[in-house]
Amino acid sequence: MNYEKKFADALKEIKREGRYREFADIRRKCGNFPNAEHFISDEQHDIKVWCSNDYLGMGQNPVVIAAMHDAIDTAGAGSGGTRNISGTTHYHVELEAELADLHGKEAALLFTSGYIANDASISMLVKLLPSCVIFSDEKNHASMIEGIRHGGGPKHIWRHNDLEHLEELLQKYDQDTPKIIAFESVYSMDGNISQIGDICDLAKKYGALTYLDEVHAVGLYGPRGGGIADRDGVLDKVDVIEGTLAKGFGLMGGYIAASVDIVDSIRSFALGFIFTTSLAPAIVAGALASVRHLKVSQIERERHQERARTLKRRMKEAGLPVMDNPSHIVPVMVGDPVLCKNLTDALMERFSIYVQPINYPTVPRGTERIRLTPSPIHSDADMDHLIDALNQLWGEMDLRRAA
Amino acid sequence: MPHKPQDIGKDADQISDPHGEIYIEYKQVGQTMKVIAVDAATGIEVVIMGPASAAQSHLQKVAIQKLKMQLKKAENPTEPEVEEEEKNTSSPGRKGWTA
Repeated sequence: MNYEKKFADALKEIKREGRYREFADIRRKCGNFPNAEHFISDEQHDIKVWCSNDYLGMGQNPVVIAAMHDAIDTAGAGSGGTRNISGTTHYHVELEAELADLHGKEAALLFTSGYIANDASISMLVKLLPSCVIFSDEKNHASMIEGIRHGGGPKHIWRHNDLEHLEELLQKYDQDTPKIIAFESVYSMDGNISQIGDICDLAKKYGALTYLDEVHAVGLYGPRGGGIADRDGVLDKVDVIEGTLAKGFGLMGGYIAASVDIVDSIRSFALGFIFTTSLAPAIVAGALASVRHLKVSQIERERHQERARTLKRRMKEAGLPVMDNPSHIVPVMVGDPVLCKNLTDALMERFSIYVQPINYPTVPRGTERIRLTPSPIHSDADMDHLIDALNQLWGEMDLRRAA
Repeated sequence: MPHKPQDIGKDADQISDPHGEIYIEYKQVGQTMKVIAVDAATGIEVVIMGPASAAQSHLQKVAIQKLKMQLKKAENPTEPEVEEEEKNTSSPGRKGWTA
């Protein structure tokens, strides 16, 4: 068999469809977010980043950076091992306590990424609950879908945010059948928000456990940054909350927060937790500083929401097809993978604006879009520049405007 | 008989919860609010931090929730005893792991 040809053909196909992914080679400027340098050939250019998931700019926050410097000076570079074998540093212990407190839970557990947290936790919950049935929102993230798949149990997909459909599916099972309802709070590509309290009430009625992914909400919502469940005052209704340290908190890593027994079970059995080197002390120390800071500081959240509202309003006024939603995400519909890629290439090359195209399989075919993430630090002048550039390109490329 | 812990401030709120009497004290330092919740019966206390601009009712709910978890932990201080036979089994159906 010609193996190389097989791989080349697979790549040729996604290039033909216009969904071949090219990574932008950039370097963020410390303390000067959202500015960065773009490396191309032998040159480098200054750019503005408009697609970062470092939603609040905490990855450039001086408190966070100082904590990371201090941890390196104190503990060195790496953690030295898996959590079980010398890799549980005091920073890890402190951060897990801080995250449990953030979500009003008895315990928390760190993972090396949010993806791993979902995959490892969901699959192990299913395995630990014989005959467990999973009820998954149809727009759940790939990491949750992988966790469900690896768990191996029966599953039902409920229509996105459709509680009547969820209840219809739950009714098919006895009260005693173990069930898990897996869903997200903020769906990152459309920006819509789930009714957490109502879903938890259904879970209680039908004897199900709730597993809530809050990765696009932690740090950003709630008086203490505990996410949408914190904002809605329903933290105590959710059984397992999964979050990330990579977006609102500006670092990397993932976690779950839950009861002592659930956390201890996943700690004891989940392979994705056990068999990997733990996060570096500097990462954990930075995350700890970030979580503590956002627990008591509202200014970032308030400014972030204001910036998102302003950008949406201004883009609508300009006739650009912003997809309406109640969150901080600003998706703008293009509807074609090739045009979407051409648009973002032109933004970078001609206007020094970095936005990544969002194509299949991240979103369904025909709904290709750009996804803008205004931060508290993006200025009015940055918005002027972005909207002028989009307006010009929208006209040149004859893209569909808002109705 | 419930008693007010000595170290709680004079102006602490006293709340009647189905669990019992709880004292809540708020201490503002700059933009930060420190909330202390104390169980009057046992003297067990917890602390949470939040923004001073947040609704006190929200911070109070979070603090009481944390106190209840602490009380539950205090009521069940020891792990259930593990049978000798179970101690020697790493996990059902597994031969052990290598890390």
